[in-house]
Amino acid sequence: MKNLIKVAFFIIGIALINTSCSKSKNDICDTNKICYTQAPDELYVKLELSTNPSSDPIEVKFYIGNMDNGELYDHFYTLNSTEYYLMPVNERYTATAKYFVEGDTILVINSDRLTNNSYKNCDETCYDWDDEIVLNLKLAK
Amino acid sequence: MQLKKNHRLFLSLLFICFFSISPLRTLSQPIGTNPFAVSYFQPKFGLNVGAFFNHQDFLFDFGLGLEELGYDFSVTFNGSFRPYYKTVHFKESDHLFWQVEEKVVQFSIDLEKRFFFLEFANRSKLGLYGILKAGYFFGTYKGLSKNRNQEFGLTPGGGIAWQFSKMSRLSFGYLYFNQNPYAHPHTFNLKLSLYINKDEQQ
Repeated sequence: MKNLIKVAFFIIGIALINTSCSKSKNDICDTNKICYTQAPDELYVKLELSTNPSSDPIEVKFYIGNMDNGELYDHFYTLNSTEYYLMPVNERYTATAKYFVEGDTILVINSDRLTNNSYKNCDETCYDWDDEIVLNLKLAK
Repeated sequence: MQLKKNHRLFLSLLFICFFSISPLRTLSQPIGTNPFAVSYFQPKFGLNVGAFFNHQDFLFDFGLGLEELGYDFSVTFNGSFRPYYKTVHFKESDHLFWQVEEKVVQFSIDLEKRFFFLEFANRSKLGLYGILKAGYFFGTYKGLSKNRNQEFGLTPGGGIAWQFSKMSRLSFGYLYFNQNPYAHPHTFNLKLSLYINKDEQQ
């Protein structure tokens, strides 16, 4: 019996860790809560860039999907530190930025999925989302 | 923020498990024992949870499998993973590097043998252990569809094992995690093992 209690305690601990990782708003009913019943079709993808150490414009590529098997959506050179795209949700986006550092070329790659979350509030489906996702394309120190 | 919260929760649970399982009576008079002596075959089902880490990396490690208490060895199937993305650099060719965000995973069969040299009145034991993880390692990368740095490898280690009663054990030691290409291979290994043992009261 003592053993079973200890094992149960351990399993509950693991379950707590697991459930704490997911955001759940199920089974609530708050009529005062603002509920967006329309899911957004498009949200922003923000690219954050470093200054190129060589002072040249940075070559940026923006893909729908992954870099190696996705679709190249845009390709440009820039001196800006941020760039924005308004893109459809529920897609993965990948961006690359090419820097020149002391004779070496460093290609910074980052990717994320643009999504919204839904939950039930008093039998209504509500949507929640971040205004943008940020792809950090800055050079690591 | 969520990651930090999860880390804090995990550490809290680990400490609660530790202090609820570890009895103070362990501090009773110890008796020296032959570390190579074995008893009769006592196979049990066990679970383990732990981590290996150094100043450059941190991986959780979960496992389940056979805990043999008579011969003091265990054979478990383990899964280890880095719970966050780490920025790393690939050398793709001369003068071309890729800076990417990496997570790593390893699935392994863990073989562990323990050599207890001190036994306490309540049958708690203190000793050394040696471990060998035979596993498959790989890295996943943001923006790349394919995994990289896939490798079958051996990860040896060893350290101190403290078996409280006959159903739990805490191990702390060293692990040579050389499969991980973008972090220092020398890591600390902390592990809590629990096993179902109906013979505890005997």
